[in-house]
Amino acid sequence: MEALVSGVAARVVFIDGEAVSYIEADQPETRIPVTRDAIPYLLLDAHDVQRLKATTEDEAFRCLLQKFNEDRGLRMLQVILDPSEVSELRQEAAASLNEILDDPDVTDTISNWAFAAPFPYEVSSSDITGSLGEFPDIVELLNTLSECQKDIIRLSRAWDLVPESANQTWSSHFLVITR
Amino acid sequence: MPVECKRCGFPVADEKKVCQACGEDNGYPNVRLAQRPDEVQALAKRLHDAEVSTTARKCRKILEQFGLAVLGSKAVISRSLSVVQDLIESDRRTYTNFQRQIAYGARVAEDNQVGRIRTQFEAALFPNFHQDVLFAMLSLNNDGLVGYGSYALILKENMIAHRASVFEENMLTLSAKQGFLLHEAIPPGFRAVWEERHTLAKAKLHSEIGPETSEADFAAILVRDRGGPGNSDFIEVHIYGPLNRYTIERVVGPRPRTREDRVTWKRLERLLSEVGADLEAK
Repeated sequence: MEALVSGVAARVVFIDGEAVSYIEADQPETRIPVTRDAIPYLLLDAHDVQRLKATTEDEAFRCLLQKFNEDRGLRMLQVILDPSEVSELRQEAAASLNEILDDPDVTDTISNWAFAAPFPYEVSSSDITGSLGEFPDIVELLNTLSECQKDIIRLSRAWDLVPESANQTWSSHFLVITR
Repeated sequence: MPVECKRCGFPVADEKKVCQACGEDNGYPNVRLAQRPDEVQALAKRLHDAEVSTTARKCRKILEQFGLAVLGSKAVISRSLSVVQDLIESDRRTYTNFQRQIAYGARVAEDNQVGRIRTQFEAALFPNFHQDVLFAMLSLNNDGLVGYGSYALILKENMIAHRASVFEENMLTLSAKQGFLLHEAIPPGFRAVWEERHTLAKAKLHSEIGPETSEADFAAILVRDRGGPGNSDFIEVHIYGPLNRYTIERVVGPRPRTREDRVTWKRLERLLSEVGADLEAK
């Protein structure tokens, strides 16, 4: 069996020969059968689709849970960082992110993404972390990200300057960066 | 069949919005296609057939009521909560179509039959301008197709009516039904301008209407959601050009069940209200 998994779409699509179905992450008890023609439309605009070949339902669900937590963890981080967001919601987001960060694999992915892009808002570390005392892991992550912002900005700008023509494959990208 | 430029009189290619000779805006190519005399005449013939049929079946009045209801229908795009959030987060986010995502390298075509021929049928629908067209669907009750995502973006009519056309159904389904190949011209009579969406709906769906049909049935006649996009039936809305969060009138969908998505829901409520749009739980 093959599976297409997306945390953004919060959905896993199972393809077993002609039999195609999908399950939503928040309704794992409900399997919805569809036709093969539907496959391209089931994960529309999701940028994180992963294809699992020769997989099992259990493996596909594990992958879905991980990708869901990675995507939602980043979204919670965005809410925490947004100075225009109400403090109650930032607290709720922090509580959610704190649970997500229990999984070290998910934490690694979220950190990698967070270190790859500058903060989307003008924020000062003390303003953000002041109300997050009960979440020391998040405070540590935010402090480290704040300290590294200058480097993150410098490196991401350099990355953006890599010409599109060199952007065909990861390997060619890597060659340009290291030249 | 190029039109004459309304300013200089020289021909404007079918796929061009702007006259290449004088720069005059000559209207949206998809709308111009739907306005062609052969399209209008063929659709009028289908409507006439629908009226004859419903008169014989004693339900002509109900067909007219259905048409009136469809004049109030909305263009809807369904996506997952995260994709909706990504669009609404900032003015800088623009909703792009499949072809532009492929061109920019933001995605790759799916490795399946539909993915492989998608460009082919989109190019057949919009010769040489398929990269400029977004797809939505007509809805009477703000429901989208769940298979595309549980959250429906309802588009503001005044932001799309001037650049939207409507089309009978999924192009692959239509070509299979009508027996034409994708390298051939699409037979006329299956598209209309936005203001004539009721005409297309009546021509397409008259056989679903009978003496017992009530107003409450209209929404389900217009859209048949059978869970998956491949086996559902609806009228497509084709919108020329981009859209962003200001194009959205309302987002409709279920209250999220996970903690993280409830946070996102509350955030969306605020972001949408800032751009004059609503979030509605269904």
